[in-house]
Amino acid sequence: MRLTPKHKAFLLIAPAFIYMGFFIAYPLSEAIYLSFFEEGALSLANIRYLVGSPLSKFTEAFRYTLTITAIVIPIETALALLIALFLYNSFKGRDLILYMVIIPLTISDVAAGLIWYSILTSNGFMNNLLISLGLIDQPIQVFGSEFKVRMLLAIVVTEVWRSMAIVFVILFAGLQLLSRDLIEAAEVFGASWMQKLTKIILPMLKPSLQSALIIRTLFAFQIFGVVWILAGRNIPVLAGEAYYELTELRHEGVAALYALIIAAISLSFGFIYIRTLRARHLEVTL
Amino acid sequence: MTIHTYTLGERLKGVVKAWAAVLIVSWIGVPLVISILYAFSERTALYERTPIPLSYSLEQIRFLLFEAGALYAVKNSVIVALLTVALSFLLGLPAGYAFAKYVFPGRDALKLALIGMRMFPVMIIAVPLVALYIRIGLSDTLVGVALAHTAMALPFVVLITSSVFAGVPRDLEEAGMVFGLSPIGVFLRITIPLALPGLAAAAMFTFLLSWNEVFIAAVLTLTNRTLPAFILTSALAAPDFFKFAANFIIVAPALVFVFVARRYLVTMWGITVR
Amino acid sequence: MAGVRLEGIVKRFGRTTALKGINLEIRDGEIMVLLGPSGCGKTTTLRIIAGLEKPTEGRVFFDDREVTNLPPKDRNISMVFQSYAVWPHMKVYDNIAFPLKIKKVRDEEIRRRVKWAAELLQIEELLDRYPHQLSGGQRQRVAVARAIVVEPEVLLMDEPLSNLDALLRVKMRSEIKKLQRKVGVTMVYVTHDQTEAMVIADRIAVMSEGQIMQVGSPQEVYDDPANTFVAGFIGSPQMNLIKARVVDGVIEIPGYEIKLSNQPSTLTGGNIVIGVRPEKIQIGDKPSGPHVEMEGIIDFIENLGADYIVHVKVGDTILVAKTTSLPEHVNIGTRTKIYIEEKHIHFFDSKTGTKIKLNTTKK
Repeated sequence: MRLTPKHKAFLLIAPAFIYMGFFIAYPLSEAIYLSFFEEGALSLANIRYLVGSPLSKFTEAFRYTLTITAIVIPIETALALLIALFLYNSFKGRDLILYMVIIPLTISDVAAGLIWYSILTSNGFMNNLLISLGLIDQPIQVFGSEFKVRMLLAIVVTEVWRSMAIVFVILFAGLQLLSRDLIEAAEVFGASWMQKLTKIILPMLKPSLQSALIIRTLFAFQIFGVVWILAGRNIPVLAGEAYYELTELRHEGVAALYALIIAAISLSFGFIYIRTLRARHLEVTL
Repeated sequence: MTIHTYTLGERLKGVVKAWAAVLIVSWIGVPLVISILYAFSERTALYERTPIPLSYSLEQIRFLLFEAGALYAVKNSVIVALLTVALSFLLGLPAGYAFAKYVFPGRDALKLALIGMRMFPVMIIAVPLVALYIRIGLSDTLVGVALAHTAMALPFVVLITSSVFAGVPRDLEEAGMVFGLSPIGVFLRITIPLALPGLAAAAMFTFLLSWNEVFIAAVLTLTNRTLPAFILTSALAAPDFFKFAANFIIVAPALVFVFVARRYLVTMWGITVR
Repeated sequence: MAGVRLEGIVKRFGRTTALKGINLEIRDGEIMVLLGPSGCGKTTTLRIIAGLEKPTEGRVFFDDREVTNLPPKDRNISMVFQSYAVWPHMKVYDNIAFPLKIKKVRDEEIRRRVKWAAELLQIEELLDRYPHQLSGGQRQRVAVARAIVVEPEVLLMDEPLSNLDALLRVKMRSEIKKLQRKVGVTMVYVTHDQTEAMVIADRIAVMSEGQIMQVGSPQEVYDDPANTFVAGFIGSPQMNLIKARVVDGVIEIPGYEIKLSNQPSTLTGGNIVIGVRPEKIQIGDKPSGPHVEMEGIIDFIENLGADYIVHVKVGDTILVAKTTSLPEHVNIGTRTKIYIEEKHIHFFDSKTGTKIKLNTTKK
């Protein structure tokens, strides 16, 4: 029997999808089992532990994760938008700035944490600079359990530094897709810079802004490395608690429950994202 | 004939633009460069309160690699990353090719599914695997980590390679067929050579995905730590110079990648985040 | 409404010079077409008038008001873009109303003016749609409506018809001209299509390599091209341009000699280029006025239905003739006589390409 192109295509994609199917279906079902069953019987022990045990920092972790997300995303979106607009027109040195802005994409969360640690720690760059300029006598302490607000700030700065690039790439790509004529037309018909931005560019950039916001929110709930390096469990976050419960306390069920919560949040945002993507797909080309 | 002179407003605009450029470059560049300088500082120079260390040595890096055990972790990371690249390309490359060159029912839905899978958090992949790996003897092994990393990287590999293959003009392949190549000949002698630079960039990208990943690696290993896992688990209690040096070792491959594949950077991330 | 004056416009992009000193006077209320091949600088000129580009040197005036350094929004112009640039996120109504809204015109006035423009372009029933629900031709009409709704001083058109199919293009070019007559606005129209230019223009500025080659009415540039570039660019099929030498009052083309009855005194000798439009070469019929007679062999015949394009080999030179009818038994390989009236022969300097002015000395 000869293979039709359709069959060939399915044969080619099958291995990848089977592999991914396994690594999604197995962990998902296993996580549900670990979370809600004990010795084969339905059990709410893990949920009770999560919200009731003095060992658990669930509410705190949830609050911190939400707070970080709520502060980081507006800041980095605004910054990314400004930089994308700045780099829209080509000029000498633009490519260099472009590479610079996207370097953090290649840098891991652990490394980003370490980079900002070297800047902010008591004998790091910031304190050395301020002391040698004579602006302060004693180093400013940023890290340590008594400086929660400062640590939170350090985390915010690091996260903005690290993840702004993702938002930037999406917005920049979206902006490049807008035909120059559409923006020049607004100029010709008398729009000021502000009117151009609010009436033409932003409305047309809406799909990209949407993508960027959804994707970033989704990943913001998975924040781990940056926080763990900079603050450890002083600033608890959902993924950090999953890690701690699993590796330190050996509470597999609790860790699985954390993982499920993160997955539920991520997947609901992912679902919204796919829906907007699909809606855009149907809307022929603009 | 009048030569156009710059008005005050335009000159002001130029100055603002130049400052904006400097600001953006410093915002990203200064922390990066400074943190690398700190990694190469003489240990005593770190306590002299100069903004930039005044004397340099390889001592911290040497200590971290050879005495603190980071070299072993680097070796593990490289093995895991290479295994991940090999496995995810073995599984993902054919799929990427199929998405680029064939039309089949459900193609769009499957592609959306891929985009969806990319958002599957690594936490939920990792936690349940701990128990499974203990049962099947993969616990604390590099293969075990690589298998999980492959699951994480596979959607990216399919999406990126599909766009790389889609970038090979159909005309060139058809010309190959017209002038006597078999379909496999076309693939090997036309498609692959044209796609090679893009595929190489994709491979480097996959390498980095694995190299940078910390949660899975930290959860699934105990003695065979990868570099990020090794640093994550020892950093909290470690002295500052240890962290400074560790930073450089993790960042170095990323910087090499940025330099080598800079032409592909924007498009590659354009694909992965879209 | 206003006239536009360009004085010594030079535009450099990095090392390339796109415009090498453009001087052009566009009269109030006329249609000036900038015509030339791609890369000749016509679009750059238009964008400088719009204020989307700033000239490196030179000045731009609207009537007596200098606008060289004004941004587009302060120039009271409007433009139809090659891609139409109809904003995809706005309905047709909002697209057309945009220039008025920016100018803070009262709502009822906006409604009245949008209705007027929509009626003029016959798109009233499309006002409630989004651009992606329109055809290319409809989008083009929206772009034109948006451009005339503000009553601009100058209306700029950047190859507005080049994205339409051939049939629609022919229909729209006369419509645009009628529309301009109705509205009376000064219009600058960029195109690379010489037929389009001939139909639409009051005057044409033919451009090449950043310079204006000739400005004149369509008839002038056709009848009296200033140089070989204009001669070759305008008219289809292209004018025959043949290298020749003048020796002792005889014009030598490769393998053939032509004798004029009236030898112009300015043709003293040396290398020249002679130009003859294909439609001025007659096959068979002898004209009554002073003419040149040549003998050649039919090399090829293109039958276009309405007329014939005939390639005739005269000496070593192929001349292309266009005729509505062919004498009987004329076929490929036939030896035939061809006639050109002397007043239809153009002479150009072979070095500079410029036209040699003829002061024909009557004998």
